[in-house]
Amino acid sequence: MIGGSDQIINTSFPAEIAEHLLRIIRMEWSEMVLENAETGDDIEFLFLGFQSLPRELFVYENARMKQHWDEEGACEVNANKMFHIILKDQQVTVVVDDPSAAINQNVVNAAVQLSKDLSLGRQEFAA
Amino acid sequence: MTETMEMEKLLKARGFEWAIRAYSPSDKAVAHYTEKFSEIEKFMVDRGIGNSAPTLDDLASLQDSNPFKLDAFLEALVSLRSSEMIVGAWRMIQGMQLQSLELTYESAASFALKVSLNSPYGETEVYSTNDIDDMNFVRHLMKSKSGDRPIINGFFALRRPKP
Repeated sequence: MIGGSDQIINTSFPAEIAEHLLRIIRMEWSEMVLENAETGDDIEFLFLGFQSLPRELFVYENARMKQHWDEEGACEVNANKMFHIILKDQQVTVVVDDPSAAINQNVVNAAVQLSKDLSLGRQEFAA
Repeated sequence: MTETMEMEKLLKARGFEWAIRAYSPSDKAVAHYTEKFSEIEKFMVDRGIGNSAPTLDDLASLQDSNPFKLDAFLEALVSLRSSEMIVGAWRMIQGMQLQSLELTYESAASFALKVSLNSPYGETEVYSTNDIDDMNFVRHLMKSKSGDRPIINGFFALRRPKP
């Protein structure tokens, strides 16, 4: 997303946090559409179940917004209607248009809180 | 390879030697966990959701795709008492959302835990127990907030290998 703002979540649990992010976003956007940012393929969200998430994905508010992004790129109409999520080994980056927008704050804060809770609740052991 | 041997392989691959040592007698631990695993399928068949019961192949594939989910399930298997709550944990790991949770306790008198889960398809399943040995179920739930809205989401592993 050109011009977006990177919200970086340092975490030992990137896969868990990414899945949590999707569930939080779905509470806001019940018709959200997921896209594998590396391949351009759609991702079925219903019962994520056993599938691994890609290292990079786009989450659109709905199919109409996805089409709008595809056709127009970033513009005023689709501002704050898409999240770009990037997973790394110890980090999840959420790229948003306006970090002060309520939905963006809610989603990112929820992920940060979960990461903290997981850190508190977990014990590490030598593999 | 027998089911017991497959279970032992999985448990050891994910660092669950502690669960084998903690069971008494420890040489019966893997057989016990394998039997608990079989009871889950029976419970799910009786509930009409047998198609969603985990198989050992499912667990083995999780080891590659989502090891954190496999760890969460194995922790449920070795630490929860009732098949019903282990199934509840499995359904959350599969993707069902926690809709509500009721926990009541009276000292030395009673314990009751009931969770309602929603599927993305709008179905609801309820899991409950009166056995305090199922209390560990709650420890695996993590909380967050979206704005002011409280959220308890996911059934998570409590232990993880050091990176």
